[in-house]
Amino acid sequence: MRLLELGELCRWINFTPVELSLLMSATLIFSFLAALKLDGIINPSWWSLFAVYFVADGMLCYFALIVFIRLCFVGQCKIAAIRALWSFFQLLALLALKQLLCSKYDSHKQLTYSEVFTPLYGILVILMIRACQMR
Amino acid sequence: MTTLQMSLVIWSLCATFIAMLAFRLDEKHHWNWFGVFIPMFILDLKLLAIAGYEVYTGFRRQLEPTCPRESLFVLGVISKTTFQILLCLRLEYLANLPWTVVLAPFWIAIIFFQANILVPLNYFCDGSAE
Repeated sequence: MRLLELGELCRWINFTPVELSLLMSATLIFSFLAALKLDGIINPSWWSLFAVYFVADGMLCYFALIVFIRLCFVGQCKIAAIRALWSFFQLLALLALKQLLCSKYDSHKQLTYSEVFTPLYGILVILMIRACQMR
Repeated sequence: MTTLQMSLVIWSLCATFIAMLAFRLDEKHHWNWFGVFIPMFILDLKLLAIAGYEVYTGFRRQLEPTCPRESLFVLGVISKTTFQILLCLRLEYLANLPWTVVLAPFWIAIIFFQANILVPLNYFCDGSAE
């Protein structure tokens, strides 16, 4: 038995180590601010707390675009298109999840968590397909 | 265990956890929070067992440098498990526990995982493996 190598993990979830690190940094900052909000030390809206994640998403989009352009320049347009498509679906699902969470906490309280987690189920389906494609 | 099997084990445990979490948060079932987190505890146990064994075998080969990335990973998983236990305690029994205390091990876990990814220590690991 062995753990997944970093390269295998990155190939599976379609993020580079830099992108993973960026997501982790955003999670660190967000969780710190969320803990302060939940303890009542600060009182911003959930939308402003999730702004950290939205900035990270914007940077991830930028990275994905750069990778797409560079791959096209070296003549690997098919690989670039497939990678861009996966990244687009993943980022869209992550963005939708955060939007739904913000809506649930700030305004639309009647949303159930099963509905809020719908984009997460989509990501799970994508990950299952990608796992089966791995050799 | 092949890459595919390992990926599918991680996937199925995460999928089960997310489904159970959604049910519990919607209050369709009043499960104990420790019960909801069982898939995550199983995953942590599995990761700890595999990574711990690799660290142990690294320490036993005293002439070669041990693998720091695996050690960082083990510390990260231990911090993550601590966070999950504290979170379950907060949600189930200790309603007055501050969230900063609950989340402190989570922040430590993120720092360990980030170091595991970013610090270019795999140079030493590769050297010891070969």
